[in-house]
Amino acid sequence: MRSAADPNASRLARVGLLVALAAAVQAFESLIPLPVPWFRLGLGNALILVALHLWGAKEGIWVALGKVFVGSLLSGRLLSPAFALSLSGTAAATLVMVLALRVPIPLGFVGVSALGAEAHVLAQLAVASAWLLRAPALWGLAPVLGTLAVASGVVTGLVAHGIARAIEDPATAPTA
Amino acid sequence: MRRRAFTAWDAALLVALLAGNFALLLPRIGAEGWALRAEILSDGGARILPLSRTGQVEVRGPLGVSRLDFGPQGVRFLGSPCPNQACVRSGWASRPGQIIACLPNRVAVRVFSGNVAKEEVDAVSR
Repeated sequence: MRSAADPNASRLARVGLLVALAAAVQAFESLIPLPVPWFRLGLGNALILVALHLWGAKEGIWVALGKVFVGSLLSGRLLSPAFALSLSGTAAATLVMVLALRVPIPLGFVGVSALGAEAHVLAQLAVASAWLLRAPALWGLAPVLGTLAVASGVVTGLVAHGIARAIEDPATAPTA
Repeated sequence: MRRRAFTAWDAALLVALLAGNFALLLPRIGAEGWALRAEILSDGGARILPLSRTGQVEVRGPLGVSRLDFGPQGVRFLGSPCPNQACVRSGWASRPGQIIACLPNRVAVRVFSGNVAKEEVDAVSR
């Protein structure tokens, strides 16, 4: 990694860049119509994973918080019920990914990302079924939503890997 | 050590996650909460019966007795002392959320899923 004159300023700039990207991606994704309600690709989580992997838990949590708040602000859902889902899902995903990056098993980006996506969905289901909608029958959706989450986790894991490589090692990054 | 994009551990983990997602469903199959039920509302109050039962149920209303028929297709009005017989002609109710009613005799039947009578989903959020 290239050195910067002021490590604090450099870190702030990098975290800020990822927050901006994650929030923009999250807001943009909410505009894409999909046949399955409550399902989105979750590319914002890829950027959280990049921050966790490259710089550590603190930076990743900052990106996660930034994604939730700025992303909800952009899509006009700040402090709405959907915001509770976004916050709980992202918090659970970030926590699980922090832990997954620390286990001694050599998990790849895909595995860590899939675990995060699964945690995201389960936390949202828990909040929705216990509090927002008070409908325990929502857990019946778990197999469908969980399977979709694992699939999206694979995709976002590959994306996170690509981004992390590009930041770590700009010379070998695929040119876009 | 550089973290790879995909390892053999990831493959095992993905399989475990997919299996786990379906295992989440197991404790619910056949559990009480998943049974379909019929809530019968009349001037005499509310009764909840499992939709899986068979046979007839009589419900008293201001005009007389309405007869409900429980069968493999759900629940229907077999007869009711009302002038237009709309309740009988509306046929079977079998899906959650379906309601059949005899308004003149003040009898209504609502099919729902779950073990609570008031399972109201009144918001959808995404």
